Amino acid sequence: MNIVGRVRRRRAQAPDEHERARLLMVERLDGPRSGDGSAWLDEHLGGCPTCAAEAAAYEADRNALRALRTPLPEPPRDLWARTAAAIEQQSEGRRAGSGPRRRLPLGALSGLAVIAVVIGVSLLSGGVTTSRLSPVGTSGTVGADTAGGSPVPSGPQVDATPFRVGAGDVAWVDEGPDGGMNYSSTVVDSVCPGTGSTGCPAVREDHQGVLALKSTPRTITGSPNGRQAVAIANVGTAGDELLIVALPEPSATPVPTPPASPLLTATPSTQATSGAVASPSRPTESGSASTSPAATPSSGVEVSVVPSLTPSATPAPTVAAQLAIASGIVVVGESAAFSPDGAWFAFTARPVDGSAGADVYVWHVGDERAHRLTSDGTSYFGSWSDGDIIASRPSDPTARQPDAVSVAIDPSSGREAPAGRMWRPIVDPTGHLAIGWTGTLARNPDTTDWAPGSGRLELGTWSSAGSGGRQGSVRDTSVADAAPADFDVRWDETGTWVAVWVADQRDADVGRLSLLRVDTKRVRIERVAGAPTDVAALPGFSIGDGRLAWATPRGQGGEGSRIQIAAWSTGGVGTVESGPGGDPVVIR
Amino acid sequence: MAIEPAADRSRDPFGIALPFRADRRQAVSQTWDRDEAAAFVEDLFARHHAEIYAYLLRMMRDADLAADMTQDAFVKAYRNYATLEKPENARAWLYQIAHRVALDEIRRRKIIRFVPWSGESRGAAPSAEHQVMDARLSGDLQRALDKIPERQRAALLLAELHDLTGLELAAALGVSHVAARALLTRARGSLRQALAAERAADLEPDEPAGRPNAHETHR
Repeated sequence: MNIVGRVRRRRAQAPDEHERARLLMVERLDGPRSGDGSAWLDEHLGGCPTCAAEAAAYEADRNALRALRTPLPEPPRDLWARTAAAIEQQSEGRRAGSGPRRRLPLGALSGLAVIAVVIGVSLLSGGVTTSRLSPVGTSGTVGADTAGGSPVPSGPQVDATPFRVGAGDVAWVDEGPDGGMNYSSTVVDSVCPGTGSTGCPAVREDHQGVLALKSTPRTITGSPNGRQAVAIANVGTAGDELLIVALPEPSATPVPTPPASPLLTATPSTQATSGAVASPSRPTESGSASTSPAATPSSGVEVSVVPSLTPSATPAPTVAAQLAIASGIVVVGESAAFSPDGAWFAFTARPVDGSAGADVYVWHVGDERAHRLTSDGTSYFGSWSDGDIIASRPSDPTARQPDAVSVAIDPSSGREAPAGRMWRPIVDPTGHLAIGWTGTLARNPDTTDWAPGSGRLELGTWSSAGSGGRQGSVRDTSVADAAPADFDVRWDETGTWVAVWVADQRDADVGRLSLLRVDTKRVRIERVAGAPTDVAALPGFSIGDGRLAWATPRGQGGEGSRIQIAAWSTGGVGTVESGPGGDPVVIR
Repeated sequence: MAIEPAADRSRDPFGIALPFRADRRQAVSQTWDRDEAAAFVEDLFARHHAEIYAYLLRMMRDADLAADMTQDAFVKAYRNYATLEKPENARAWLYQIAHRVALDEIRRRKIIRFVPWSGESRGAAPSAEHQVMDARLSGDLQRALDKIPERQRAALLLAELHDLTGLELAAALGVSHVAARALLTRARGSLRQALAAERAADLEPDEPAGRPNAHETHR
């Protein structure tokens, strides 16, 4: 159409045609117009520069609006906690006097009554310790603060509505005046949102007892069946000793135990077990069924176990049994772990006399002694995966900064298969992801043990053939960039939360702990607002059943350590802590 | 950890209940499973709380108020769980609840326009993100948005910033599909006029004496 034609056409157009065009051009922004309307509009716009300009203006308006999409404002981090509390209030109001009560947060925190057991060793005098967990922020400065780490709480003090968490016990041990250890447990049924909140109610104490260990453990690792644990205790120049101790069931509901002398054998249980190692998605580990301790009961070592305690305000004598399964060694690192089915316990150690380097040791539950599984003197236990031990060693021990190679070892036969090049991969419960060190290794000049050199601690995919590499950017997968003296990584039973402890380079007896969420589909690390991040923590922590428990270092002013517990749901993370105590050790 | 909406929930295959009806709510409230509702809302929160909060913040221009209203919206979602007939429509259903919460609040406060951002909130200082957003909203576009009716503003925000489809928009606004589209069309027209007026005012060399400074008013 020539110019003359356009002019003539425009003059011929009635004013309502421009209005129609305006309506159509706006409507077209929200979807294509059908048939004649669209064709008519195009023709009209072609002959009406004013309307065309107006159409362009509408388009520009829309683009300007869409430019406001980002940044998406961040909601308050305690929003879920507040909402959950409000819903809980609604629920309680509606169901007053009827039916069982559900606790919030919901979902993951309301599954099996899996127990995060925390054992602390305190120097408090008196009889049975009655430490009570209290909300973070109500008991003053955290001991960790003075140990060079980020204190928990780390945020501003705010009044926030506490929210309930699913039933889960926390237990700990305090050293009593008689040298035995007082075993206590408590239910943490509410926490403060995020960190640094005030106004949360104290948790309710459930029951106490006495756990007689002859020596103070350095670390304690609970079996998935929740009834026994491996305590690693230092016995001076004789190195470390591994002791098997029976634990009372830290349950709010008393379960009578026959006054018998049961064998300290693995008893794979179908009951709720410790969430730190239980794997709902793969309850039975291959390679373990054929070597089930139940099949070899005669190899068990009989020990005396006192009948279980009953929940009472009065301390009751409790389980008091220990059995040494290894001695004359020095346990290396913090990676010791039960197999998910509870039939095996693996760790890294070297002879105290220095006659050999580090090797992987394994204890078959029910056996009298642990035995050395590797013999090259450069093998380090990483984690369990599909019934196998994943161990790592330097590719060339004579090199100054060798790479790492990993192997999958059948704990029964000792047969090895290649398992990638990640150093000490900690495989998630589903067997699809792992966190480990990628990079070179270097010898620790003090211990001659191999440790991370140059590289990073990161998340990667995992298969039976080993680490398959990472997805996404390094920023999304990197857990720590600096080489730690040691690290300890533990997944929760869902494989979506992971806690990472990184030892301090100058003092491996303290480190920093972070709770991370993992996007399993995109293989990404997500740092959740309010979750503990690089908080100062002693070695040994427990993760599972929606909570992470750890112990803070002592404060500079002589204040004792505290046990801190973070509990999370999809909406947020809350924390509680104990008052200052001794030097807690957390059952993993 | 996130709880999937129960796939086997036996719901009749109708769409979103539009609008909520008190009699229906009352009728079903006797039968719905509270635990199921709580689990569902927890999952809903995990998936959508950020965008619901953003929508309410954009509507109300007050971070603390938006947080309170977001909480209120999810509590209402819990209470009205039985009115959701198709879990796949949960997002639009949630927006509908949030939209009603916003309109109720606006009505309660007798606020017809945006509450101008004052740079202060009832609690903590506004975050950097809020300040950035405020800065970006503080120009002509914000003033234009201020001047259009809240239902039109809601329609624009939901369609352009929150990506609600036509049906979802209708559900969220509690009107028919045709009415929602008409509302959106009117909203675009209103915004165009308001923007033109704002830009025309910007071109004025001098502010008339006594005329409030729109820039400062909205900062």
